[in-house]
Amino acid sequence: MEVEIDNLRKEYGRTRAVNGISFSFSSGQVFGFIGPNGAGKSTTMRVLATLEEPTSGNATIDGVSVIEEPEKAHKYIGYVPDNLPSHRDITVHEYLDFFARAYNIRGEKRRQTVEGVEEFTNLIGIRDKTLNALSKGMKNRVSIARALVHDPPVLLMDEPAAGLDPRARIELRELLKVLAGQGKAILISSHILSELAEICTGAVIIERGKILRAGTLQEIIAQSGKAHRTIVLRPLNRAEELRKTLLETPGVEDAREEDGIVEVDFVGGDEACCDLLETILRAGFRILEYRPRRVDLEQIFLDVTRGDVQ
Amino acid sequence: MTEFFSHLGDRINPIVVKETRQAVNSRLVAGFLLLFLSVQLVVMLLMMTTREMPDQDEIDLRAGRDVFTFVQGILLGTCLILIPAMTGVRLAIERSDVNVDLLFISSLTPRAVLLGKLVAAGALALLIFSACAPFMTFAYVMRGLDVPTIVVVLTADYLAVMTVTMLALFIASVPANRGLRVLLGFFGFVGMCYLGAGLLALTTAFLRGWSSLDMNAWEFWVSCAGLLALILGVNGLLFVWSVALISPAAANRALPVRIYTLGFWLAAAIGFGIWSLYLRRPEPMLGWGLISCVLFSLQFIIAICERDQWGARVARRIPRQLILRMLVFFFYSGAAGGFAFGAFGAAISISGLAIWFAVIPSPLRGLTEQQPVLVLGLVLAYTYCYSLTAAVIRRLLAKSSFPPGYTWVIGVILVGCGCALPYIVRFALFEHSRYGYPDELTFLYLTNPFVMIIEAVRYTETHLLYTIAFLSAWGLTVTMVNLPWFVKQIQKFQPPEVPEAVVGAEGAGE
Repeated sequence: MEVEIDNLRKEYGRTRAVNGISFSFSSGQVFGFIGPNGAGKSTTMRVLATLEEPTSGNATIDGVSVIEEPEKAHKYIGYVPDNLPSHRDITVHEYLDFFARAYNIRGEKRRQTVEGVEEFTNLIGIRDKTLNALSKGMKNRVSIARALVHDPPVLLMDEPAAGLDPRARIELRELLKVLAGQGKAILISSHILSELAEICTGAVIIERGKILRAGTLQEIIAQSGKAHRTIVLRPLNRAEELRKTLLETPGVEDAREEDGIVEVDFVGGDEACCDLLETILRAGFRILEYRPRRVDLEQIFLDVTRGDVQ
Repeated sequence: MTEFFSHLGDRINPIVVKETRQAVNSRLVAGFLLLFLSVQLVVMLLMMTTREMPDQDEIDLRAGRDVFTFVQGILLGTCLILIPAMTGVRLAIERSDVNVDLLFISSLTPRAVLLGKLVAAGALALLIFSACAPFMTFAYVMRGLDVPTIVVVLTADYLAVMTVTMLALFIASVPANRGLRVLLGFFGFVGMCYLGAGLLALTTAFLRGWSSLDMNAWEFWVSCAGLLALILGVNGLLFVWSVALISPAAANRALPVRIYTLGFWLAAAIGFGIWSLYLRRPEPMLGWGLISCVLFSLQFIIAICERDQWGARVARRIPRQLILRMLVFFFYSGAAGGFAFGAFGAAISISGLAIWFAVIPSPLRGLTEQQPVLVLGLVLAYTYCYSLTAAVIRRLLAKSSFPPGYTWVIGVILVGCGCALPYIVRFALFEHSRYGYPDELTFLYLTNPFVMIIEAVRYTETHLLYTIAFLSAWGLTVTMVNLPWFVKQIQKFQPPEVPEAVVGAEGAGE
């Protein structure tokens, strides 16, 4: 299952919300959609979800155009918008049951599907509550459950972590990992780049409606010309001395020490990371923990964007 | 049995299930229902206690009828306000840009969505009507009215509620911002008030025997059937328009609308034609003329708001055969085809009406002069001219990304200017102490359809000649200006070229 966006353009009067963007992602990939406010992320998501018609360009899911054949594309898409459901007079279970019916899931299968999704998204305990009585985190889960009810191969998630407490964020991250493991193609926009970096296999960085970087994380790193990452070191002792040594080591941009833990901003690939550890050990430091974090999306984002909005 | 109900439950439109569940859980609905029942109870008690009783030997034969008149008035008022407002507002919110309900990205078709909303509204109306049943039974027991009368009145009330609900759904489907939608809603509310007041007056007259309607005559029931068909036809038209409005832009949205319009127009022609032949008088055909005038005037306005281009999906369905292609040009989405459809329909309607009046002479003096035909013709001609002029202006504004969907706004502004400017010019340049429209100043008012249509028919032939000459010149000019665009649209109306490899494969297959 491949999602392809080809030269997509969306204009509102004289404003170009999306300016000829092209990228693709496929099953099993989690793509982060990153950009400042007003960059065109939500507009692109809405076009992909068939809620908006682009001014020009095309987007296909498994060869089906979301612009020309939106009715066919609906079954492929699960969309989690940035606003949450807030109906007064309908319970969580009734809401999910309605969408299961809307996707033509019938009889016993519908009951099993709804219950399965409720269990998967941890909604069993609140299934009889009305939607407007739920907290933001709970509504978020309902929104994800609704998007999953017809088991779509493509998930579009617009700021799903916005406003969630730390526990809900962790739960969301775990949920996304499971979904990615199920082979779904996921496009997720978020401002919490550290969390995206934990789960994303690729990213699209967008600003003023134009793509600045797109591809798998490796490709983006290659495009950036350098690989930023943070390495966490826990020496047995001599933490401050280690920090000073690291600052003199090639590839290290910065090193900070706090409570015996040293954090290093490092530029380099996996090979360079191994070399750095070897250098530290040869210098006579005894290391309890050496943990290179994944690519620092935050740094790449700051490098390539200018913070311009339209 | 459980399996049967489960199967039945699966077959019910999901929207009906959801909306009914919401209505049952809704405090608003429950509150309205309780208020409605309380008001009915209070009104009935007041009527019973304050009513002057006849002598002991006499029976009050009006008590039941009077109580029923009040009860059905309250019922009609409650349903006309609550149900259309609830249904329309809910759909408008679901279609709002800022509050995506995602109903429209499920597997449900736009037709199923609207039908579900309509059926759910109908079920809610039935619920409220049935809540009223005990009071109506009580009214019946009190004498003064019979069961057929109750059935006719309640059917009329129910139809009115469903028609206004359909109108509310249509307004909610119009792609407009909140302000414009509120304005449309306000006009809808005013229309609803008129309809409700009119129906209430009619049913009161019917209940009290003030009207000449005789339920024992077969003409009464035939008229009822005709009226029912007309109401259903109008509701159907609103329905297909609403479906088209919420269908994806890439779909051939105009096709069902134009097929329905054609069907409605033909059915009306047959119905009114039979009535006219039965009476041996041409006047009933004016009903068809009026329907045609409304249908094709609206068709002109809709057509100028359509896009010039059609997407690949529509293009794929354009026939390769020339004759068939020319025929479907009038029915497929696209501004040019839509306008041609309206122009042909208008021309055939006015010609047909004129011929009908010539063939079947009217005993009424005024009507023999074909005045009504003239009025309908002038209305259509003015709509044609203003619409095409608006289309030209919109194309001139195309570079500023003026959306085609709002071409009607240009049309409204043009009509506004055409109506107001004559008065301003007269006030500024000519004497303004006299009222009326003197012959020497007729030329000033030519752009004002309201003045000219009335004056042309009411006064001398000079006014009529001026109007016809002006409209002919204007119509011809805008037609000529639009002609290159129209020809270009016909030329572009082609199916996509088949790649050679596919042609080869098809040939090999044969």
